[in-house]
Amino acid sequence: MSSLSFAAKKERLLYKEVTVDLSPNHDGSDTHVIKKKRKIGLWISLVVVVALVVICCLPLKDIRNFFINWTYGWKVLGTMFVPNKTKTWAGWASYLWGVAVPSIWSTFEMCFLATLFGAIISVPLFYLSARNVAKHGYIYWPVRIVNDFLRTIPTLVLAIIVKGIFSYGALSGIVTMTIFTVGIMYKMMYEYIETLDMSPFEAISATGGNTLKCIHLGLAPSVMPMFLSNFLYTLEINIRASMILGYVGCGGFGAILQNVQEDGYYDEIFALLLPLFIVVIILQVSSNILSRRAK
Amino acid sequence: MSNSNPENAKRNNPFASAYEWLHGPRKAVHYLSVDEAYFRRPRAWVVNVIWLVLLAAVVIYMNYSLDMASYFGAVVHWGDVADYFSRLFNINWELFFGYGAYALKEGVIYQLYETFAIAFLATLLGAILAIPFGILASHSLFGKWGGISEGILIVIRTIPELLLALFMVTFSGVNMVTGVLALGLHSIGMIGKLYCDQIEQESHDTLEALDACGAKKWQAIHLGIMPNVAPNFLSVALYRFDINVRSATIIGAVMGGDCGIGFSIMVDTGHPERLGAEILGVILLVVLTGSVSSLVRKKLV
Repeated sequence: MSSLSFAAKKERLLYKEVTVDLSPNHDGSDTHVIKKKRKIGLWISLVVVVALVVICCLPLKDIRNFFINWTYGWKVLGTMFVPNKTKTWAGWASYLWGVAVPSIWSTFEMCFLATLFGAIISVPLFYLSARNVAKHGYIYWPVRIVNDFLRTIPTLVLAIIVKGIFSYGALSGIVTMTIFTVGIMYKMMYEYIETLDMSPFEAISATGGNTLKCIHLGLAPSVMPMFLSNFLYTLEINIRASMILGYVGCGGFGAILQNVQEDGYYDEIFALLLPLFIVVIILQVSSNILSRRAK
Repeated sequence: MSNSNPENAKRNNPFASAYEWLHGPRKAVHYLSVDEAYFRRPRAWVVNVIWLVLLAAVVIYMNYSLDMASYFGAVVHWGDVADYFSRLFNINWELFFGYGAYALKEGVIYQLYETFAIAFLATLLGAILAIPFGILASHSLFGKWGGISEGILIVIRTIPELLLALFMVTFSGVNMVTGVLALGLHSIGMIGKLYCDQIEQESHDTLEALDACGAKKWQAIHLGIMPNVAPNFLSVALYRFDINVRSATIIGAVMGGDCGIGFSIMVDTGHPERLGAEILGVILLVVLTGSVSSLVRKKLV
């Protein structure tokens, strides 16, 4: 083994030799030795995944406590559907109408405004970052890089940074979600635009239209349904994300949810979640219908 | 505008004529003259103005009901803001690496490791559990029975992961296992839907050939579907891992303590000298995992 050169060792590591019998009667008269590639990439990736699983399991020190609280958990979940803090069903309904629905509605308004502003800001950005509209790399790469950087910042971090400027309240929530929306919208839209058929665009440019006319008449009719569908999708994402904004103090129903959860009033949590689910389901269904129509 | 046109009867309906005045004729019409074509052109700008006015009314109403004027009237103390950001960018490296005044487990690097562990294990859990759901939801394999699993996936997707985390806390306490379970169960919904899409994009030829050979359904899945879609499945799981890393930071913030970086970010909101190191760590983690996952995805597909 030690007499082998490095190249030979590498050869031996990467390939294995297989004897194949090609004779018609399988009597061994026409045997060949073939070099077959070993599946080294597969084995390495398997080892990496197993190593990652082991490394990630190391800090799971509480796994023994995992099965202790389950009876308590089911009991708590049961109290969700029985008026506890609110005494009666009438009290629960008045909480639903008096506190839960207005807070969800104001959150919806925040999210709607933020999504609208973000969508409007993203319109020039996604046309500029689409490879088939902005033909030159020195136009679309800078736009993409700046937007990708904005997109990588998680919502929590973005909310805290924005709160450093605009302090507590709905305005910082709206600014956060606007930046967040621009990141999502521009990414989804320019990937869609790059798949579009460019023949109307070229036809209009051949008859003498400038780029704005080409976009307005050639691309906008096919972009518009997808834009609306993505708008609703982003609105839905924002409504989910607005929960964390409330925890940080940027407005929305998250603050109420946090208080109620810390006090352990699970019937009020149920009253808060009911309108949220209805809004999310309506948005999901309408976004699905619109995107199906766009395709 | 000839009277012999059979559409004249329809045009007497005032609403129909108003609709046609705005949008043009509903069906393709063979115009007899240029004048008629010009007369029946769509008035797109009127529709656009109506929509814009409605939108502006909604925006103004929402601004009033959120009382945005009070926010814009408030004075921003730019000196305080500048001070805050100068303290934010003065990064505390002792906290970042966890040495000196801080123990290793208080350091940002260790907490990022916990966040990464939550995201990785949750993605693994979700990607494995989503395989049966995704296969059962595909209409090309199971026909209308795929709707059942599809409905389950939609219900799972509707529940936000933060809520799932809040409820899992009552079951298994504040620890990393809860975070892993909440995030993993939530990611089943999205991963399962994308798996289903991948299966339905496959051509039906392989399935038909296997069907002609007399293969059973599970044999068709094992031999006809899985070899083709395995790299796509892996790519979907990596895409979801990218998202789960962000969600893991937020889940830590909601559950409180022992769940990665999120909670310390939320607690240190008022302490910018600690916050700077934590924010730097989170952005580094997100950028690194995102670029690695996108590189591997490009190699796979």
